[in-house]
Amino acid sequence: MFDLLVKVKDNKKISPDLWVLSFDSEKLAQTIVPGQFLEFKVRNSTDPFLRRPFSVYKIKNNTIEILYEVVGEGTHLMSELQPGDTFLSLGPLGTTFTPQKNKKVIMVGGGVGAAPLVFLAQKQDFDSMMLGFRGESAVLPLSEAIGDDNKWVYATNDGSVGHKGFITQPLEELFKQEDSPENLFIYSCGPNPMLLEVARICQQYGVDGEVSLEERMGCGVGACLGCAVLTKSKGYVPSCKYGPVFNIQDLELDELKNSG
Amino acid sequence: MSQKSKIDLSTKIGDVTFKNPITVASGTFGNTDEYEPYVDFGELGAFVTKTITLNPRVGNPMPRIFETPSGMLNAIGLENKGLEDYIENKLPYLSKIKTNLITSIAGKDASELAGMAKRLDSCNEVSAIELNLSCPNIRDKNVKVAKHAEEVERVVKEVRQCTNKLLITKLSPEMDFFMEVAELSVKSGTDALSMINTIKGMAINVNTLKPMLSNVTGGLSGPAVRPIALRYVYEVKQHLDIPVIGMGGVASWRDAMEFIIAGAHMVATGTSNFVNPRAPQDCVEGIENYMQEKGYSSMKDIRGKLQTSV
Repeated sequence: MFDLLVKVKDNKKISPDLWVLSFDSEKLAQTIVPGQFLEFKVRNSTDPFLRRPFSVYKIKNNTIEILYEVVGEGTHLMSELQPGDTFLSLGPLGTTFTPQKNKKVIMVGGGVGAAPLVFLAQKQDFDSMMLGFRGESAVLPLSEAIGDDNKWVYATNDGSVGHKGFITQPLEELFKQEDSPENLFIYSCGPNPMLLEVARICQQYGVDGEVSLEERMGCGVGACLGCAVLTKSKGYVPSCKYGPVFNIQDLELDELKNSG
Repeated sequence: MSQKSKIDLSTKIGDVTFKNPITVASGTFGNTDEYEPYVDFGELGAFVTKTITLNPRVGNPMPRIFETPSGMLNAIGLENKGLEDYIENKLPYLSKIKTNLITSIAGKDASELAGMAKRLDSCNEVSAIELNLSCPNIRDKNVKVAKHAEEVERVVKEVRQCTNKLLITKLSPEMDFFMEVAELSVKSGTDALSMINTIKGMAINVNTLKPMLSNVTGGLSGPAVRPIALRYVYEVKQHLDIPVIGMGGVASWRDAMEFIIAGAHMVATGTSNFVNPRAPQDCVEGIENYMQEKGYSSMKDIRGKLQTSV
């Protein structure tokens, strides 16, 4: 784990609502594993004060790419970074997705929750990348796809791109048509309401999987206990240290309804 | 370097010598090894644990934290695994840290705290006990949140009888008649005061009409509270001859020096650790450079040397 001063290589809009920031770091490119995250401090000031957690979106050679959406003051400042500007990056932090060899892998993401799944797709074979977005402006362009475009399935709330509704609906259809759902494995990341629905469907069809949580975080290293989640195996644990990736069956889902 | 080595940063409180005046605020530096990859714990004046209670506590429901201008609100609710887990599973690690260990405790009443102090008194690894009587985020009866001077007096007196360890009492601006509380703590036998604990605050989501924290209110910390914390340290030092460990929004050596000039024996970095894990170590290095530049050779040369006459 390193606290590095890194230099912005590029910072560009890839759709009306989505941005990709990139920087070079050999150290991080060689050590970070899909599922882990970095904590950024983009401006040396007390407002905003805390760091912000970001998943890695892609790694190309030694270039780290971060997918983000401008939602608050921190990401607004991030969008103003110019090539050559520097910022602090703490990490890699947290747990990793478990690689699957013999299972049919389905990835299910919501919004910028797609980021860690796209990074995972660079290393893990998969059958389907199912991504939900609130509308056309927030959709990840297909030009960003890893692997075969045909494996990418989209849903938007208004139906402007792909399936109309939630991505969990085509997911459930896929489960229904599967002869042996126990051979499926789900990786999922996105807002808690989506994860809760993914977990419900997985439970119903007997599908195993892992989810990456997007809890509000303070320190990122398990010190402040601001991001506690209730697990069946260990009770309350900080999501930043014992997660963000959890086995879907280990989470006490009712508790997630209040957070995220 | 040879010049630097002449500067003595050590600070003595009671019988305990701290190698330098920088420590960390309880609850902001993890339980054991969370910050080990970033900081050399042995370079700090002391390591302070997250507050331990007799029995395990699960803490408050989520959300527990919310960022505010130059600070954050927290309502963690003293989540911890209890005293015996601390002694059995945390102390073996903490005993290897090459600096003083301050164990922070909270309890439901004076006798429970006294019992905990007695148990810790037999742990050689523990250099000092900090009484957390001022967590602002407790709604149950399992933890005493002292609001009045007499409550603090009763606890400090009873705990004092059960331990010979250095005893530190942590105070909060939420306490009524703060100066009276401070005075009675000293009379009851505390060796030092630490201040300030967080100040109660809140934030509201205007879309959902809900509070940003499940606990509704939370403790405000970070640079936003620093001027208030500094004023408390200053005022207590004007009235009482007692070592003070100052804390509240300290992020840099300059902030730390303000507290020392106001009279603090030691200074803790807190919420800033979440942003810069090296904050305490940076403070130690910065203070050493400052001392060298100014020509001070020991902490006594600068502690409490505020010049109020213009």
